[in-house]
Amino acid sequence: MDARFGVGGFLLAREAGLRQIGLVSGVSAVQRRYRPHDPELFQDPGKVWRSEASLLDEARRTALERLARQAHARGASLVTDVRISDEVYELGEPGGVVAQFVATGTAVRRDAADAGNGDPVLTNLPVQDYWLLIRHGREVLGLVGSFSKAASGVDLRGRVLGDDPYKDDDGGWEADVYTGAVSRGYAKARADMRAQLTTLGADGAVGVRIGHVQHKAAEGAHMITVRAIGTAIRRAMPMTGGDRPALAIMPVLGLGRGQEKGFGRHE
Amino acid sequence: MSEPFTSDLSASEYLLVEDAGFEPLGLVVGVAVYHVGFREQFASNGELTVLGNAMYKARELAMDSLEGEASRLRADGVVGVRLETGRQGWGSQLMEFMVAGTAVRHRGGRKFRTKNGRAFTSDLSGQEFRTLLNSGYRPAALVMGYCVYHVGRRGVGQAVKQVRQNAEMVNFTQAMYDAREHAIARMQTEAQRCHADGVVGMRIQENHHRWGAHTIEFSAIGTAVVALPDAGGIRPPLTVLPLDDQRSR
Repeated sequence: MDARFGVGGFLLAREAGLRQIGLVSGVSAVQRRYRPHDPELFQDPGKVWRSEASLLDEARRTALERLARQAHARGASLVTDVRISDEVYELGEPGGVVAQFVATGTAVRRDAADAGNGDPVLTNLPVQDYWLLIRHGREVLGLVGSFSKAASGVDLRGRVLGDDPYKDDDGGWEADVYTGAVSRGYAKARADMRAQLTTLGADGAVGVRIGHVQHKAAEGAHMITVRAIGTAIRRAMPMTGGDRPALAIMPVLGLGRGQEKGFGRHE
Repeated sequence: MSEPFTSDLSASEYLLVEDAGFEPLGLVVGVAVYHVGFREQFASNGELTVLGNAMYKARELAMDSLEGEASRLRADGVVGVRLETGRQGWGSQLMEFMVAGTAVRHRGGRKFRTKNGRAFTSDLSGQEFRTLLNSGYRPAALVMGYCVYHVGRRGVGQAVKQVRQNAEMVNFTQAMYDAREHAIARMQTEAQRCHADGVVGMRIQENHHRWGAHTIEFSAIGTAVVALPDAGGIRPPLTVLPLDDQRSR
């Protein structure tokens, strides 16, 4: 048995009848064709780079599907603490860029009766949070997320689109093209998640991690990648056979927000 | 049927916020990318006002954008606001400022907006938010103070005198005192402007050399709170040992 439950998670899982099976993972690496200068990049900063985004989104989904398949094969009905990391690098040979996605999580079996039935439910929440939601009458439906790439309106020399070189530089100014591009990235990520939540019939998503990175692309511009991941939930009847656990509002070990979560470079 | 919400609150934070009578409406985000203007250079200790003003302006733009999104959702406030600043290696003059939090509305229609009709903002966690309400206070606004300060260089004579000596760098010591006091005083001024009773969850951050050598930056951030008119007093604390695994986060 291998898993990343700490002592608290391990004890709670035992108490709640959740049996940890072990770490599961799914990997997908895709190569995309090199395009010397994509006109799409500079025409409309903030607009999603569709050809790139769809390829990467597909790879991300594939990694998650492989993780779910592995968990299913090991008899899991739940995968907690799902994390997705991504890396883009150029091949040492001409004409190729590789994007690699790695999804990891802890496979859990809820009880003997539902072991191996259907696809496992995936969540980015720790096992404690899953248990808390179930005990408080919420159904965990699965992961929702978004991964998109868009031009930022900044060229490879760091020149911002719309930047007037003769502008009075004394007081500073807002790079509104760049601001708009990042804002549109965040708006799209949230819209993607809302659409997925509607499809799932969820009330909402909790534990959402959202963030962006800015990086150089080989195509002559800087790109923004916006990533988001969360867990879809729905109100359900409270689980029988256990009391609703008290919600800890004054923990002995205080977790500041900075420790609890953050805009990571990984989802 | 209402639109599904998105929230960066953890499961326990979400349940506590709901338990406090609030419904989450959605994740709200504000972004501002700001081009910093020309920087003054001093021979002696002194505040770099252009950099400080740029931080204020960028923060204001990002917060306005976040509050605008919250208003469109008809929210009473935004909880768990997180704030991030960043700079890119290729664009040292460009500064990214990003804020995000969960917009909430009171189910009972109780007024939680600020006196000027804006949604309150707070960087407190769901647990802290619930505790605050239980104790008869409510958040008013996320308040901040900044100071970017240039540390003057030692004179040649002083530098020669201190060669191979363990000695206090008085210019650095004094600069840190000054910058820190400026940042805290500005945060307190913001809190007074919203008629707050106090500031909780305050954090002081210090960044050395983010703007180059001999430059220090202090920021003070916290949530200004006001007493609820019908407050029943502070309840006895309940000690709880959570089973959270900090290492797994």
